Amino acid sequence: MIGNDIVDLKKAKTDSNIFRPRYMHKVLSQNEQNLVLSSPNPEEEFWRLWTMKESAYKAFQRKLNFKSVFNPFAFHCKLMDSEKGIVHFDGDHVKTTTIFNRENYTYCSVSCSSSSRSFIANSKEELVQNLRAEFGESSQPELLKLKNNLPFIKIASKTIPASITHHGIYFAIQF
Amino acid sequence: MTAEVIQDKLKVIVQPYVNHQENFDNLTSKSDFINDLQINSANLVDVVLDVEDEFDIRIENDDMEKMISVEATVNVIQKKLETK
Repeated sequence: MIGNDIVDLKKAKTDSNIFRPRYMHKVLSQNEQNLVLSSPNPEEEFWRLWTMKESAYKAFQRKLNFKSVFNPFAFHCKLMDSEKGIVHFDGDHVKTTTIFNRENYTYCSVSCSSSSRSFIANSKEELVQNLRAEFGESSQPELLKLKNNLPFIKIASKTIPASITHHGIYFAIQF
Repeated sequence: MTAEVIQDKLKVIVQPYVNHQENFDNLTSKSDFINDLQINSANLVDVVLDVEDEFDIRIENDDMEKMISVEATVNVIQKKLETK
């Protein structure tokens, strides 16, 4: 399974006020709200949980092939340590790994048993360069969206499922 | 309140969160918040809260999950106003 999500922490600070009344109630369970409110850095903790939920949503949407919905509250996060977590959804679950780049971004991806790759870049061009380095300089990787707006990378005759996330100055891909 | 009036009010609500001006100018009932208007998903929460404040309603989770397009959101608002 693949699914990833990145939050540009500087952009998040200007674009969203997670302390707005009722904001957290809409997306977090009571346990998750307690994690955020008892954290020394509530914003970082909030975006960690948020990106876990978004990553899991993308993974389950691809697996179960459902239409887009907006239901972060349906995904329940459990934190194992400073990087690893588990997200429960509808009787199933996925494991996640979070990378913190302090004050810059929080990046989460669903961990799968098979080998998947993730690239984090500062621009779309850099992301495509990463893909060229991976698939060969002459490859013309193309990003496209198919059914339910799910992203894929098209390289020559191959179409590879991918998860793409973009926020602020950051772009990331998992495939 | 008619669907047209609700849609006009909704257009004003979503404006600050829109990242695709052209699609916003050409907004229709079929416009999708994330794909067409490129509203960041974290700001969808703000849209829901702004809708609650503007129409003086409370939106439960199972209604919130449908609120990803103009049409679906207008329907949720209309239903809530009818049962108020």
